[in-house]
Amino acid sequence: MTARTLRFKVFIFWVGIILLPATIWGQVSTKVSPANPLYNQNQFREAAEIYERAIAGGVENGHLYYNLGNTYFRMGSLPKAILNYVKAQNLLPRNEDVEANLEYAVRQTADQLDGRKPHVLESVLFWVGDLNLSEHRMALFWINLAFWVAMAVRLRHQTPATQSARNILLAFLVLALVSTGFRWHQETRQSIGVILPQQIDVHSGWNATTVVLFQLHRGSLVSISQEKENWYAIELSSEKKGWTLKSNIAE
Amino acid sequence: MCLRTMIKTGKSCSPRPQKVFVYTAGVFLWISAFFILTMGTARATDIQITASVDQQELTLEDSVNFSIVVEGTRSAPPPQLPPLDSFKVRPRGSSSSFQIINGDRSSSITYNFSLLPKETGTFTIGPATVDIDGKKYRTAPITLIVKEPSAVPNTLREVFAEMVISNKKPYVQEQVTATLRIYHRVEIRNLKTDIQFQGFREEALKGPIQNTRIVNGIRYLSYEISTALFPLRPGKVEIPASIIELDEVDRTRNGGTSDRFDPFGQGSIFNNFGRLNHKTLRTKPITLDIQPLPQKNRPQHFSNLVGDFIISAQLSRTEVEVGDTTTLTVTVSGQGNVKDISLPSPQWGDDFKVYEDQSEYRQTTGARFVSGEKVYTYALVPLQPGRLQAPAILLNYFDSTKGDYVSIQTQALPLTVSPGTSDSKLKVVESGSDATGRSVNPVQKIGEDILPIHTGAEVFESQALTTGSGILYGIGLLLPVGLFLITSGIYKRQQRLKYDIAFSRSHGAYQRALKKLSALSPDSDPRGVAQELSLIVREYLGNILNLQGTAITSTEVEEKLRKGNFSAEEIQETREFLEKHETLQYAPTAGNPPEELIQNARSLLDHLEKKP
Repeated sequence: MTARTLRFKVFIFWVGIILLPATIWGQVSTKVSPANPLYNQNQFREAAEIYERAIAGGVENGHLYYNLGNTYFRMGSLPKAILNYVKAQNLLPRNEDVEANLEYAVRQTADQLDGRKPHVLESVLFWVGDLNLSEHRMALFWINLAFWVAMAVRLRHQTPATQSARNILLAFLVLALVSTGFRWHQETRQSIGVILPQQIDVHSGWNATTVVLFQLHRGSLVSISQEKENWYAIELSSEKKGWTLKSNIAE
Repeated sequence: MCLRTMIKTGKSCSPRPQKVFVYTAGVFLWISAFFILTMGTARATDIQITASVDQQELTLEDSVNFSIVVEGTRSAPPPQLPPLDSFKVRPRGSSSSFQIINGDRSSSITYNFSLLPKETGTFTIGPATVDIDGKKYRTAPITLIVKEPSAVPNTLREVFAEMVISNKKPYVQEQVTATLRIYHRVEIRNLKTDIQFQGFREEALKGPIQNTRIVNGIRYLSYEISTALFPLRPGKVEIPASIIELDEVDRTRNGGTSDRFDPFGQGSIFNNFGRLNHKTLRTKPITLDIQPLPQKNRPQHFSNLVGDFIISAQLSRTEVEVGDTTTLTVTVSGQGNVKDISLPSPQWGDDFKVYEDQSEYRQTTGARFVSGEKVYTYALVPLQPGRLQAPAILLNYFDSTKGDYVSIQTQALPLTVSPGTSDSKLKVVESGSDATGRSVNPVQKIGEDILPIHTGAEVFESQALTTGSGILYGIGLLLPVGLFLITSGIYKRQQRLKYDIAFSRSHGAYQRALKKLSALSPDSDPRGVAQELSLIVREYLGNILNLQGTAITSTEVEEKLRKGNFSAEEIQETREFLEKHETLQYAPTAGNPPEELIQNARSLLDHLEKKP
């Protein structure tokens, strides 16, 4: 391999890296664009199929989940609508449309229950919920870069100013690492479910013969904390806990 | 022994540690052996499973104890119960036993459940199963007959319950009081109620309260739970049977005497003993005929307020200047669905600029009624001087006792406004006011719906982190660290070269020596070459050993090389080289040819530099 060939290959690699997001965006846009007119023509089932296909194809986009939530809402499937609004909110945490529609959909349910249990750390890391995981990763990337640049500058200029800058950036870097890790934990480990049947019994154990603690209705949002055979342990924000069959819950 | 020693000698003592250890270990071994043997026996014994009930005929008010006994083991998993749709199942815990009778060991575990019938009929409780070591064991089916409660009238029974409704034909939103009364002539414990009201908004009333009531000449204690109900829609609405579970204390079986009117055992502590009979009481379903609110005389501003209300208003100041603020407080209080109190927007006219505050709601819950008050406050800023009037505030409600709508209103309150002492023409524009400061009707929400879908193609970029982008991201995170480490290494090396003389001298000493060797001409005089070579090697040695000058003897070099972790062979070779070249410088005849001398010098340098 000559030096010229090597340089050409490196050039192609970087061009590919730069153009990759644009290519993906183009593909996603093409996949989703036929669904929106269908929605506006009240052909909700067809629109939902297209949105679902895009999601099954690996597209992770808050606006897509939001549109799918709207479509299910129009189709009368409140649990699926709520579930997709929740997913949309994870990806678009500051989007007011998503928040308004989720709140409205929850208000249409019998229990009007948003049982998503806030984590204790959320009161300390209060900003975590305002950024999605992608934004957290980006913030971590830039803070990391800034920190190491500050470290490099400090090699030649060991002044109080560079020391302060390094310490501040180090603090930010630690916070960014913790925040990103926590957000990642929230999105991948914490499971949210929506009640599917009109009414379900929530038992004290993973057996139908155990005591019924309380009842929930279609569309209630719950936190899933544990799994046992074909049962889920669910928790509500009001500290109520219990077990119900997995088939009663959509995730 | 130790105690005896202490008593005799008066000194403290401690048991010999070795003896204690042996004793403890022995006891432990015996206990372990006992458990291992008994467990082994239990496993080896045939396992049997049986189910039993304490009664096969019962009424809807009774419960039956359902026990499943697993014999031959003490560690069986909980049994899988058969479908029991006609019963409510309450687990009552488990117990295990172990017996040795005439040398025969037996063990068992018993799981207990209470079955509370939901309906009458003959039911077969199917086999319960227990899975032990992969083998399923089943119980035999059991038949239960559930009958209606005995036809004994309530008044002849020890415990009975009824639901009392204050009004069976209420209007929509009119308060109805539903009272569950549990009459009892014996002590009751562990009371649980299951009361369902569908089609009503509920408010728990004060209580529960305990009363003494005479029913058909018999004195009962009555435990009463009241709920205020507000019907939500007209038509027939059924309040289903409420289910009350309790334990009736039967003292007669233990031969104890009891005061029937000391129901919670507050008398002698000996009265707390007695057998508990679990009872399930049911009230009769009650159908209410909810009346719609009449259309006739229905006022324009009516917010479904039903009950009995009064309204009052007062101004905080009755004399103010233009631009000053006075607070108008309007209080609506009464009995009924107070939560629904809502005032129509008063007609303020052009005289005031008005700021409405958040209303305050206070509810009082009594034993029979829900009452409360709602306080509205308005900050009024008069816009012109003169004798103004805070307008009357109107309230419409439906009086269910009269069966008609009632309109009440506050008095218009006079307000004297003098011209302002300063130029305080307020032109603040707030929501609810137009640009001229006149109040306008606030925008009222008529309907609600979800917001439309997002359509812009640019918003549909995937936010997922793919494997490729994940790797790139990881590289992006680690790259600055790597670059920093490289930069830091280079910088430190530069600094060392700059400030560490020994390092600086040794760094490149080999290259410099080689360069000098290359500059030597093989055609030169061998003695001159030998002198040059000696100088080059001494200089090289001076650089790597950080020695000053080149006038160093071979003995000094040997000593320094020895400290510098050079091998004996290297030291020997160096010493010989230096001595030989010193000799050659002054030799009368030329010895080795210059090329060979140069080659020897290069070889020595390579050797010292650890070059292959």
